[in-house]
Amino acid sequence: MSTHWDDRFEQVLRRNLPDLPAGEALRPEANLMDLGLDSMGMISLLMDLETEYGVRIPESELTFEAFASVAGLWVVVGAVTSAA
Amino acid sequence: MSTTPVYDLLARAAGEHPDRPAVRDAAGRWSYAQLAAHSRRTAAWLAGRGVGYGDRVMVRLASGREYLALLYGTVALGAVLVPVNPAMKDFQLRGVIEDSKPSLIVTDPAHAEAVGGLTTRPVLGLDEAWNEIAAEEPAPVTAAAISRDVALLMYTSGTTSRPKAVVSEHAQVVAATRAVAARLRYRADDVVYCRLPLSFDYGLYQVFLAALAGAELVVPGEVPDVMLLRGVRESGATVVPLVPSLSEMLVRLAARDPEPTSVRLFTNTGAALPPPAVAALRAAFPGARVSLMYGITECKRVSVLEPDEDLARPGSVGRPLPDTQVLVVDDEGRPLPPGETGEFVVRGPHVMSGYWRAPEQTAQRFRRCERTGEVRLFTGDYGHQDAEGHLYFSGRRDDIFKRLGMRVSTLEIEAAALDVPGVREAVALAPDGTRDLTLFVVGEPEPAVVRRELRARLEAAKVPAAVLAVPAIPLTGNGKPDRKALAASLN
Repeated sequence: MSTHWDDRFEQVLRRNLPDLPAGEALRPEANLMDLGLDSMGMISLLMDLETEYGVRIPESELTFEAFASVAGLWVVVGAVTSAA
Repeated sequence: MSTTPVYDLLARAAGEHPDRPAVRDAAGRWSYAQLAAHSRRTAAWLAGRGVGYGDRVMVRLASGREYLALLYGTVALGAVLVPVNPAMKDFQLRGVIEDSKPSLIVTDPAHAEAVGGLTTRPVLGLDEAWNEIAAEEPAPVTAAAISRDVALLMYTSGTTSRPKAVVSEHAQVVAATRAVAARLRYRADDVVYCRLPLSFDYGLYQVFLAALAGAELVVPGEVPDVMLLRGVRESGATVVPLVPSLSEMLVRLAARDPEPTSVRLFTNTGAALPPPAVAALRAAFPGARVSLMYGITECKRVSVLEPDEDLARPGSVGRPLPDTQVLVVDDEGRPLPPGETGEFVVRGPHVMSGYWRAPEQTAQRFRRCERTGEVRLFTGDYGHQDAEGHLYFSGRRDDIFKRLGMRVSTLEIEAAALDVPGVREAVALAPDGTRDLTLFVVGEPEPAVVRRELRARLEAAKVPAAVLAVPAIPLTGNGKPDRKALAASLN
């Protein structure tokens, strides 16, 4: 899976990461919690991504790994959206 | 036969229905007989390491089956369990270790080395500890801790910059458990899904409530909250204890995934669940009733509102527990008639013993009645009682507040901010309904840096929503930070 996510993904993430400065690049290995994502934020991010792409991410994909890093989340979202 | 009352909750359950499931985590399930055997192995292991009557055992773990064995194994020896939140940062953990002086610390393996760096006391990763425990024979429980012996030290935020521990005796723990059970009526066929950490008193008491009812406890450990609804559904949970943030998460998750669950009862504690939030929870989980509660660690629980009684008595947090009483008093400690607002003062067998090694703070809250000598708990919480005895909570007097279900003190946030290099002054404003937790700082670091540094020092609930840099903190006439002026500067 490519770590080159699309603009929509980047925009949704930036909207949901309170501690990522606007001028700072989103790095694939960046830890989402270090960028200010808390539990409630994870749920908002999940719902925003599902709305943005018009998909439903399966329960089985909602894992620690999926929400640990930017790249990890894109692996899940990329797979679901390319399958859709 | 042991006479340690808290251990006896388990011993009785294991005697009456040994094969019934007691606890389940991601790795598997133990029956009550198995939990008792593992607890006795743990007691033998602790004793072999020199832990005995009155010694403290600190447990800094995510919830799991082994946690329960450590809990019951510790109290079976007449030793004292000190549960601490695995999210507690080194900055505060160091102080809690110094304060409680544990004979042994069990932590998650990933942090064993870091915790070991904070203290000269023995620190073991759970993996190492459990290898040793599993090799032990289950020892007979022979300790004779009586009702007045200490079972738990529950660390909680207070009016000091450091967390302090509420001292809980066996009899107080059992009395609180029985009184809460009388209101909530867990059943033997219940599956209790406890997402709350066991370092949080209401999380820990799920262990005792489940044992008393012979119910099964599910302790999912550290799983992301995006999996919360899935965990509730797949575990077959019938009872789910909540704090408001978990309630909100469940409601949001149910909106994208409305498949039914088996939940029959939600309980809420930690902070008030506002009526619209209760309504949303009911709408999302039509088969479940909701019981609102109010309590503080110093007596575990003050009141429980019967399930769905909030519909008839909006705003109430329920009646005091059976065999307990709440007085509403004025500033001179005189009882007030129904309907008038004053401080809640709690009487009963669940009022804990005071704060660990903090006689001054203990004397402020746990006050001896001059006439009878009875110790009464002055909660610092304000509200009124109606003619039928239902309590209505209106707020706290001092600078303690609840955020995301956690008790927070502005002083500990300020202390953490002052620990950040370059920060010279810090003033935290508690949330007030319209404004979230806000911190003002004076110093070199950028606000974003301060916030990042605070996240390394404090649990998420204690990290301010906004950090603002100011050239100076305005002062009042007597030289104290002018919080009103700071609040006004936000508008």
